[in-house]
Amino acid sequence: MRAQVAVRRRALLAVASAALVVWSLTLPLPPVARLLVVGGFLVSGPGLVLVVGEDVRALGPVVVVAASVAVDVLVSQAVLYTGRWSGTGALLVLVGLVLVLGTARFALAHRRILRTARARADWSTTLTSPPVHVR
Amino acid sequence: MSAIVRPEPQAQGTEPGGSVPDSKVVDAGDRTGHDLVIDLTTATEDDTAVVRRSALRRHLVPALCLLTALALWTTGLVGGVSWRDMTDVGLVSVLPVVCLLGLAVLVVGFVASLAPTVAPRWWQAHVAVLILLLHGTPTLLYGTLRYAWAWKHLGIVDYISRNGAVDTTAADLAVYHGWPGFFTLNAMLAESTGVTDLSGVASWWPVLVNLAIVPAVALIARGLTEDRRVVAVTCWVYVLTAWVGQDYFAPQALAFLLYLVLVGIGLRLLGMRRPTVPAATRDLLAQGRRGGVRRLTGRLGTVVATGWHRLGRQLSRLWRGWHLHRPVVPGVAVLLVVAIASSHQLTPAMVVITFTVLLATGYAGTVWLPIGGVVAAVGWALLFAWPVLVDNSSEVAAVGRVGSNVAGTLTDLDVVSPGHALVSLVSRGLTVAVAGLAVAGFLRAWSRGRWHGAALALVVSPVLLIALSAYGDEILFRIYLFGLPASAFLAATLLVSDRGDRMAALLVTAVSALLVPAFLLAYLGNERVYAFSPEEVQLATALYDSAPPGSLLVEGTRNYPTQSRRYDTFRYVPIDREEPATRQRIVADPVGELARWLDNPQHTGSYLLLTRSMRNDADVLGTMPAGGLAHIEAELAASPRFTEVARNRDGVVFVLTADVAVTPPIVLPPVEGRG
Repeated sequence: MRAQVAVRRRALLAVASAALVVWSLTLPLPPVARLLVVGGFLVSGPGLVLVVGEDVRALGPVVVVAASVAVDVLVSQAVLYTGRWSGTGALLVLVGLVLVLGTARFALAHRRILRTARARADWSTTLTSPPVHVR
Repeated sequence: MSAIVRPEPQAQGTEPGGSVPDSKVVDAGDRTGHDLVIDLTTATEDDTAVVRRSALRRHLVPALCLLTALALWTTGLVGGVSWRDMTDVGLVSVLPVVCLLGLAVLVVGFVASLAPTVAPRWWQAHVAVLILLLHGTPTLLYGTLRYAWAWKHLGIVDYISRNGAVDTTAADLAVYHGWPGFFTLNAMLAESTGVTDLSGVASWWPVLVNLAIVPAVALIARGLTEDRRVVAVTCWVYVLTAWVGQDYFAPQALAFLLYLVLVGIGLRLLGMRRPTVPAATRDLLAQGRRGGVRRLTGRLGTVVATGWHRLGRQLSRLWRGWHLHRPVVPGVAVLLVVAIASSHQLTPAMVVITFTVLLATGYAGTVWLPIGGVVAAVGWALLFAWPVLVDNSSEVAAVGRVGSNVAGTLTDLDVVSPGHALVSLVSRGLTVAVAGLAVAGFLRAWSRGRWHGAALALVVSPVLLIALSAYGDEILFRIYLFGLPASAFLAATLLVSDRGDRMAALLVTAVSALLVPAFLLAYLGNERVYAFSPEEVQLATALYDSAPPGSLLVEGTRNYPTQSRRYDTFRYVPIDREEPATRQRIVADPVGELARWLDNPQHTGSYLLLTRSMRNDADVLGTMPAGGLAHIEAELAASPRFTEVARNRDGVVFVLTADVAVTPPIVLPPVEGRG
């Protein structure tokens, strides 16, 4: 359950960072501020939704950064080789990827957490409730 | 007095094959020299208070050292550093003593943070500050992006942003078009954020990338040992010995980071086997411990037998198709392999070699990683970079020419200035020192019955690159860099593994006292060449913005903020790369010879650019006669056949007087940065 909570937290963080990127692109922010927001997303967002919890625990946060950079590289190149290069377009593809994967991962982890919690509650009720014949 | 706390919740001093100590010595601060043994399960409040006070003191020392080091360094920089006056030994010639004092205090703080009771965040903070001080100082001082190649890489980013494509048949810098991953990433960053000039980001790149690389080095070290101190010292030694300068704004820095994480994944997730001594060799090992000639033969026998055992086991597994049933490669590893293969030319080869060696020696257990590396690298080269390979067939032809590949990397000390020769010698000395420490660490562990075979494999694997290519005369640098994390690990085991706190502290301090000055000379020793003033940036940028496409740009050398904008629209002719006879002719008659060069109707415009860093480059590396470029500039300035169309205190742009009327004016933008 703890692992699922971590997955859910990371997915939420990734979705939030992607949303922040969209927000920063729509507002007239100074380029440096936008650079910080987008840069932060590029080095963490994709990795947060792609690297599963066990790997993060075993390898540390650096694997999130490396995975993020790898995905950034591959997505930006894919956009380049399609012949329709747009830096903002490539970023939006990444944002979309993170939003979809992050939402899916969040929903799955949340469902597993709820299921586990419900099972525990049921088990606890079974243990504490008096036998039927007593009632 | 020392307090021994047991039981120890976190094993200290353990390594694969090593023993777990059942107690930990905690220096309680009393100098009586007696040990106090505290059993935590039965400790009284007074006992635990002693330990708490000790822990407080141990937190205080690293914290104070960290703050003091930062304060001293800042004081030195704020006091003013006249970096333009640096000599041929680089930045260390102008660094204030107070800055060096700051580094010394940082060493003390790091050593204090190695104590068992101090939280890991303290040594991590010290390593981070060390990176900031060593790699951030040039950026803080110059206020500009250093190193000419970094500017060229900005030029590729600019190309992609302007054209939305790559051109593998480009006349210049085509190799970057074949492996554009790093550049597309930065083009995406620049375009989407509206930052038109990425040189600010690029100037902080060495700090950022080292802050990412060191955790990857720690990841590898954690795959090789469980000793926290060894991991910490590995990172420290790595930072102080990574002098080859491949951490600038370049694809190799990114690919190196990904490679290290991949190796870390290989060691941690893909079935690293703890070193075991085969039963058949135990007798030989025992024989080796008896001493004399039999000791030596016994140990050599152990090595041979262990090697055969591992190799045989792996080959038999491969033969049985064992791996086909375990195609376990984490998805992240696949991503990293493909990203590396599409971003850099040499690193994929290193991935294949490393994982083949790790597989053959039984430390990383899947054949799919080297196979995936070969498929990705060859596939990418054939699909996306074939024209570049054809154009660089001479590099491919160099495969197997070990001698020439090595010779191309070394500086000819007879040609360069005395200061630069000293820097080169210190660099070589630092390399030899790292190798010596690594060998000593390996032998010491071996003599204690530990076999750091995985580390040895990681050190030896990059040497195989020597047969591949001279790689633009840089192959020895790359071999050193790829082997450095494991070398630093072996050196760290020598310094702290199985040693008491005091001895470990003493050794780390002593080695740091040697490595810090050597690093300052080796890494920052060429700054007289690498540093560009804001005025040079201003002049080069204005020239690139103003010159019409198809212009000829004659340059003193290639060492200036070069090719950073519209790089593909100009033709570049550096004087120092001409044949020696031509260079002598130019120095003898600069006006006549260069007027002939610039009077070329094939080009829409012809410019001659001379800057401060070009003069430094030619003088330090000896590519021109001493003072040759200064002489050329003086002659042209005095000649009526040439006219200055732009000048500031660090450079000048000449055109032929006859062409002034048709030359677009060069408007110098405001200077940004600290001159």
